[in-house]
Amino acid sequence: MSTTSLPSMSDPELIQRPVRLELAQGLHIRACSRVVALVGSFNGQIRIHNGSRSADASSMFDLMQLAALPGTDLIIEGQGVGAEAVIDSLERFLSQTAETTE
Amino acid sequence: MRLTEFVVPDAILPQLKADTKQSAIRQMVASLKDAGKIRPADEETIVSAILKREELGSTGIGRGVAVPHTKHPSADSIISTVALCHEGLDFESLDGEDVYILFLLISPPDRPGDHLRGLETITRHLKNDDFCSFLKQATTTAAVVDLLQEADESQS
Repeated sequence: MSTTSLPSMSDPELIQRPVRLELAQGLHIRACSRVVALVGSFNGQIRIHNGSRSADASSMFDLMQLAALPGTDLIIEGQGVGAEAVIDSLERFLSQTAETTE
Repeated sequence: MRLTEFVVPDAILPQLKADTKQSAIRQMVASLKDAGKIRPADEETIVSAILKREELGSTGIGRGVAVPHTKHPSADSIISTVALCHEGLDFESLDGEDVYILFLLISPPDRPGDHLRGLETITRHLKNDDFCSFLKQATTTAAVVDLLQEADESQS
């Protein structure tokens, strides 16, 4: 999937990447906790947008507000050193279908 | 979605006494059964399903909150009960902290959107420090119901 780099007032640049949520059960609790773990100790900020809703990807409570079902088009947005690698891992996770049932 | 749409008032446990996660879940499911919302014949399978889900990862999501849940064919619509454990309970939460507020959720398997919206509703209100704080202090069913109603009204 393509990455769009937008100009920013300060470096490093803001990265935005569209991703379609394929997880069979959507962004439920376990998926949210996996996202939090993937963001882990990243120093910059990662946000996930679902239409007009936006969540800090390091916050369980925020992520659960997205209530995203399978097939939802999300945008992952990140800034900071190493943001691209974190976004890569999030994209891989969110765009996979196979997950144990809940 | 509104909290009072799916929380069963008669099943609220405002002063839960539980030493273990298993005991808390068992009491909450029993309370839904006693309120007539689940059949006695389904009680054990629902408890087992919720405990099995917990084995995959705790639903203690931080801020002293846990949301144990399952999808079960006996549920026609999403139902929930609230329990308050004033002494705190080790729920193996993601943040390592004890749990004081539990929302147990049972959803129909064929409506994943309802399940996610139920979770979204619960967590949206529990993000609010005042709601969380007042709920932790509530000791009666009536007080909990009042807080749920106030929360619903605050969003409308």
